[in-house]
Amino acid sequence: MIELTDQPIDFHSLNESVMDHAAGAVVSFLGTVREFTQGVQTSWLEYEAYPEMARASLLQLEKEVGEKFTVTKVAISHRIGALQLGDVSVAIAVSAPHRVQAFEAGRWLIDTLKDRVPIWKKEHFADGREEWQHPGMSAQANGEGKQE
Amino acid sequence: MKINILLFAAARDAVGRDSVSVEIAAGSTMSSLREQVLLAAPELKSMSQSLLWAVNNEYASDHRVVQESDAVACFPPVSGG
Repeated sequence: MIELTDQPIDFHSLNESVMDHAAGAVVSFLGTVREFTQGVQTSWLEYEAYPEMARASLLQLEKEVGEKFTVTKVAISHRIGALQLGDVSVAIAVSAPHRVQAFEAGRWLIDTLKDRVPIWKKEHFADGREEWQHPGMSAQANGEGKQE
Repeated sequence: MKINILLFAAARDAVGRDSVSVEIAAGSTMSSLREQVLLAAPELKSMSQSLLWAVNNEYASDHRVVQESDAVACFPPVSGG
């Protein structure tokens, strides 16, 4: 199951959705909005997606994880819109017959999602500045201020 | 043929609109489309080395030939999660 939503992520339901009698392990990952990054205070975050491609990319992740790892079920939900400190921005749940595969598949899913799925976050700092986070983009191109 | 390119995040903010249209010859590749986009939207030049290009919801290489019916998008490195 994959989902792109502008509503709070119900991660309890997400975990339950991957539970299965064939599984002996469920691993769950939550990404949450952090207040301080390298000493700079965040006030809130804005997430934007290219929705059609983001959904297609998430479906591709769901397919690939089943080819790379022995998993039973996976569920991925990413939130877009305005998020406050502590809010859950992304949730991943993986069930597998054994824990090692569940952990490895979960790690691969979040790492690959961050690398590939067309979603962007804009930091709104406590001092009033705002800045898109574009990893690897030069400081000049990314405007003034600190990089992620 | 006319191609409309969707822009996202800092690319959209730099140009000030959410898409840009360019005219390219039939059989053109992504690489020549990109040149036309940078002419039509010079605000993207400073970030052009970092920009990612997608066709029909998949990342596209420079050599890919663009069709009139393709959905093309251009955006900076992704930062979800």
